[in-house]
Amino acid sequence: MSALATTRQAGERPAWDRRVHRVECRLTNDLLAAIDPVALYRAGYRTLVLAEPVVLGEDGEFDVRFLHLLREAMSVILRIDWAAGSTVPFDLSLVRHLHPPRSGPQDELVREWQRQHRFGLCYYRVGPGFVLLKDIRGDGARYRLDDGRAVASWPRLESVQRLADASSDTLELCELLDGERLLLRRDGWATLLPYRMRQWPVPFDAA
Amino acid sequence: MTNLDICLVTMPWQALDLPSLPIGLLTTVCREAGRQAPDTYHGNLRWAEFLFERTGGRLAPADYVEVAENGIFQGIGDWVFTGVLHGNDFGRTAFADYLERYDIDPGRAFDMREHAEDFVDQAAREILDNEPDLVGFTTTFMQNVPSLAVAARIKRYAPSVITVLGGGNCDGPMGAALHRNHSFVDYVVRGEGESVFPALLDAIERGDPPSGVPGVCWWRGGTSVVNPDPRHPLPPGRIPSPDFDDWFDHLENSPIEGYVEPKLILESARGCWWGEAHQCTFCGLNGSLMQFRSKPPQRTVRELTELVTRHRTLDVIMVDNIIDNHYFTDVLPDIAALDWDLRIHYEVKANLTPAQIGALRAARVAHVQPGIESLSSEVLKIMDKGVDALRNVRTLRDCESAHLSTTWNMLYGFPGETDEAYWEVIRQIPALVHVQPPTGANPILLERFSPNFDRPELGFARRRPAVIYDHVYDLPQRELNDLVYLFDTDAAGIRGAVAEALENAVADWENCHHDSTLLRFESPEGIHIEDRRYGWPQRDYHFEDPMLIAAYRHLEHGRSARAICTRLADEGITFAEPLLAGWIDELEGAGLVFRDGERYLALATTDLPLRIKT
Repeated sequence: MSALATTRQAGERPAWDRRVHRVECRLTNDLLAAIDPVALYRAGYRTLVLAEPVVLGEDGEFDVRFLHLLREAMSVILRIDWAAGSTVPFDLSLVRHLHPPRSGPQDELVREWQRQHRFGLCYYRVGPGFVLLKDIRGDGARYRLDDGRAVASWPRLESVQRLADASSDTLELCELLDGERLLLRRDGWATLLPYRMRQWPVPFDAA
Repeated sequence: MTNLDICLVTMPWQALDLPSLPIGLLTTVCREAGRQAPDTYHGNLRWAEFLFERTGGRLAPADYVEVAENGIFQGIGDWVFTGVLHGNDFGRTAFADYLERYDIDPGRAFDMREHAEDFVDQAAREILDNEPDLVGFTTTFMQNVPSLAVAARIKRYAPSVITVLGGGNCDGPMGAALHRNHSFVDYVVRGEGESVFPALLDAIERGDPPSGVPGVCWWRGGTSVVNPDPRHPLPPGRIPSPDFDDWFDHLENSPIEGYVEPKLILESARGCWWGEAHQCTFCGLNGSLMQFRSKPPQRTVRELTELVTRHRTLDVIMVDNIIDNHYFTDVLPDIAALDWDLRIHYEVKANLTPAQIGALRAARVAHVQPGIESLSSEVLKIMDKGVDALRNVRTLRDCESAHLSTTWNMLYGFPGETDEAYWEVIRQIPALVHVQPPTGANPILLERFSPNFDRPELGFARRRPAVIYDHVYDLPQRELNDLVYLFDTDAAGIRGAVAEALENAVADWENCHHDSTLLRFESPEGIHIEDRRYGWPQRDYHFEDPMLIAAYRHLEHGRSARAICTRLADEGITFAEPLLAGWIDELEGAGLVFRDGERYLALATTDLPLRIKT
């Protein structure tokens, strides 16, 4: 095909390959709030590269917002390529359903996270007046949330919620989810741990 | 007799995760006719529960599923229960011989059979606990023998209780044979039950013989009487909405609830619009009722909405044999607008357009079953499939891009097919490893109601009931000729080396698929193709020349070099045909196009689903 087309050996990614979106600067709360994995996916991106190591454990709001980013990326199967720049302050059994770091100061934890991670370990699905949850990070559990007040509060915890601003219904839902290890809570901030299943894998019944 | 108390029964091997559609439909029919809702007995769940409890979990729901999903073509499910019906030793030797001859793993069938007698006895007693006047069994695929076994036991314990069989296994002559060979079955309902079943109930309640009820088999003295089939299929407006309340209630309190993820089963259409004009020669799935009837779009959306809301279940199996083409514009967009996290299964015709595939994906259809059947136009023509190989490959390519799980089968063994047609497919399979492989390459079966069965001149004149029935029924062959669905016949079409090569190529495809991608993406600068298929050099191809870009876009539709030249000329682009043909040859050499005669189809997908190795 030499006469009619340019060929490259694998690995030379052309500059116009738009499947990879890079964030070059260090993440902040404002930046985390602005990154929208769903919008990136719809724009054609399939990988989000965070060039700067992510420092966790210093600011509860930041930790919660970063986990929210990992969770939303899983929802649309946008891969996040990130490195931990600090000790990871999450229990692995809580977060192994989310994209693991490529590296970090805790070699053993990074390796375990990479080993244990797979798609479909902890997710939810929204229906009319109910939410279904599947959590197989541990022994395996399925839940159905169909209490009207809880379902109405659900969207508050899909985003990043400052608990001081939360309604009593939302706080009640937080307690419920916390008891089932389905909520991340740090320094008065909280968000859901399971991701919304927006894209099914192939085969469709493998999750 | 008035006000019959009715119990509707579904026996193994109905799927554990789905309610019985026939029971759901007849429950509604009874209600709408002003009757009390029938009792229901979900014998499939009860059998799985029985095995689970009796063995302390050693025979688990997964073992049930193994037989239910993989035992059909070996008659394994029926065999498990045949000792109850025909005596403990019946079928054991024939089954063992069969397994050995064909090297088949029977799963836990032998262990299960040890419990069949006790379960059938328990099932009969449980059904009779509510003192029904009439017990109706719905039977499809491997439900015949379990249903007959329980019906016989009910008759033994309560001779006055009326037994009725209906369902797909009772269609046409099969129902008549089931009736005349089993005196403990009082009635058989053949064809669609929605109109016949209530009419039968009315006749029984009046004390009249059902001589005027179409399709029914009944006894006059000791003689089985077979009423003529219903003359007209049920109009779509009269296809009821199913009532699944009982099943969901049962499952919620079942000891195996934790093992079963419940799904909804819905039908938006019956029959096959393609089969009405050109029935695929091997297909008997629609039985005696081919006429296509689909529910009005608004009604289908309303039913889906109501059942999802009522049962708080987001997995939906659309049981239609083929989707109504109008649904792509009149139903799927409405489902997409609901923005629920559904997971829907649909069977479709293989010649899907990109817009149709997009509509399926937007509506949260996650799994399609297109009738691909073959990648040879010659063979597809023999089977009267109505699509060619290029369209089939295009559908596989575009379903992969749309993240749709795609289940299909590669069939062979059609009279008149040639080795050359298959060598051409085998040659090209390595280029297809990035799209979803078939579940296997298998010779066709001779199915009742198919053209191959009804028209011996198509090449299958010599036939006998499939050998699997030897270990299922204790009946002479002349009766099995009418009773069964599958037949053994002389092999047709390819055999030997080419058949073996086809099966090996498909096996390689299955092995290579997970790690193979061939992705096309584009930018203002050009078209970029990234080849990461197993068995091919890992290379990237980049077309910047506007002439090549335009030609490649035509190849994505599947066209000949001449047709592309003509179209390019219409677009004001001059591309000499020999030069274009040479370029296409290079693409073919790199496995970037699929060839069907003079036409070529570009194979790269535009997106990649998340694949999970199972």
